[in-house]
Amino acid sequence: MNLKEEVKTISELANIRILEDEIEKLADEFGEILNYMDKIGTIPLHEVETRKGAKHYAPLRKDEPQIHRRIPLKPLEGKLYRVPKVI
Amino acid sequence: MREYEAVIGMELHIQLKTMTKLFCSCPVESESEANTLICPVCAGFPGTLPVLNEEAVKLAVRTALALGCGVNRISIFSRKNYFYPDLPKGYQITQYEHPLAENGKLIMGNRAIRIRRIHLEEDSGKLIHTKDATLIDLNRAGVPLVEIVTEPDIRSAKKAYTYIIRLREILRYIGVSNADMEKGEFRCEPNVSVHRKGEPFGTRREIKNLNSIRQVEESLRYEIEQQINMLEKGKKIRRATLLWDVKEKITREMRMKETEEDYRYFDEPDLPPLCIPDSFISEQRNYIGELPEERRERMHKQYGLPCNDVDTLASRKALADYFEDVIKITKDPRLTAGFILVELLGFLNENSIKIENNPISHEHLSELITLMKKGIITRTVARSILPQIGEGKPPTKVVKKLGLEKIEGKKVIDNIIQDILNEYVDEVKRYREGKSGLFDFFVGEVMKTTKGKANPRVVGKLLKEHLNKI
Repeated sequence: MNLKEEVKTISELANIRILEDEIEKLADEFGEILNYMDKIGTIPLHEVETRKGAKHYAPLRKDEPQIHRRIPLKPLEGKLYRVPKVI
Repeated sequence: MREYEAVIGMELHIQLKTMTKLFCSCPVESESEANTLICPVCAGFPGTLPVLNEEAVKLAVRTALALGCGVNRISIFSRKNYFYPDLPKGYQITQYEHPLAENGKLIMGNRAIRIRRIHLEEDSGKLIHTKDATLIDLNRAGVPLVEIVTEPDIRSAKKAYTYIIRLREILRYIGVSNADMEKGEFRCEPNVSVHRKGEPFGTRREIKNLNSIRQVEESLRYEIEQQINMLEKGKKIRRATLLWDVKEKITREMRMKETEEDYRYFDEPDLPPLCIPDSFISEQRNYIGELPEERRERMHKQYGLPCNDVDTLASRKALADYFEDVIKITKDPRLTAGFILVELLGFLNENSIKIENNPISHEHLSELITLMKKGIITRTVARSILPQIGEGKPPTKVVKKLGLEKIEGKKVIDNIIQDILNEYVDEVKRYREGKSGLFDFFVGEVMKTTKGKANPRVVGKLLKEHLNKI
């Protein structure tokens, strides 16, 4: 896939609409970013610790329901949400 | 012409039986008002952080162990990015390169279906499509799921059906999920390709929108036919996601399948790696008792019951446990199995009661079967008083109170038959003129009069004698 096609595909996947005359510019910028990645690729990183060797692990939460954190979807004032008085 | 062969792989999503969602403390309930079980985390508000539910991890580990998978000490959560209204964050938190568990198998008779991987992920919201809009309920968003992916080891629609049944039995045995397909707790997405035997595998297509295990089998059968037809016509099969049309019973192409690349997976930055301590694994191993396949084999040997009976009895843990409790007292495997499978399950079915909520204690059922075994009551009577016993009344008392002891005396039955034949003179005449189907009617009337207390075989024999005499 050439870069221009790639720009189109990525804009679709990202749900971002771009204009036809923006494609060229974005394709150039993509190219620059990819060149930069190639530069990173030259650095020997195989000895750097990845996330799998991380020191911190995901904390676990007890399986206990907490209802008070629900979003106050009701009641509504017209089309606005209403929350307890703040000031 | 060389024969075609189908290759089926299966992706199953199973809702884990937890109180709360995977990454927030919202309750998991199936019948609450729409959008009442949501919070900033599962509704995808910016600035919120997911915190992993310990119980979900434990249940997923238990599932992995029951399927003989190796549990990875460290696994990583990833973001799967795509835009669809059921996904408030714009990505689903799942596991990709480093799943929770890998390399298991499910034994089906003398064959094993290899399990490639098992991972944890969050469910999406539910979309309700109306005529002019799509409505969204986020109660389900963030509910914990395990995804179980097989290797492409299944070779027919029928085998796919069996695989699902067997897997569901295991999940229910070990208590990780209710696995009710109608409630969406159990979702199945098979993929299938066909090729000529000896040639490389074909292009696989995935089927969605399957709401029952029957539909899985039906849709696969249809799609295999379809693909063979296409190849026969020299057409190329392209990769696609298909929707099963329940009414027309056909598959329809939904969209070109995204490639994995399109999801732009990357490690979830909001969650550090998941570490499974040894204590988790040993603790969960304790919950895995005898699994259905082993239990069938043991019950078949121990009680000498036919495979069909054992198959059903061991399909649910509660049913198998109940049967074994009853058999300890009645010591009559055949009679007990027959009564439980036909009469008790029939009674529960009629009243929409699940075996897990069976109101009849095993002591009472044993007592009832013993009354039958001793010839004090008929099977018909035993069946008819199940509702009273379900209310907690002891069988012996119910039988005494209602006077349901078996009518043994030939004389008594003779008299009843005579009365019936006297009452239905026209029917007797028509019977004698050749309407032999009326015989069952007479038996029915006698059984009605005796409230099922007479032995139907004796009634039949005596009735024949009477009718021959006329």
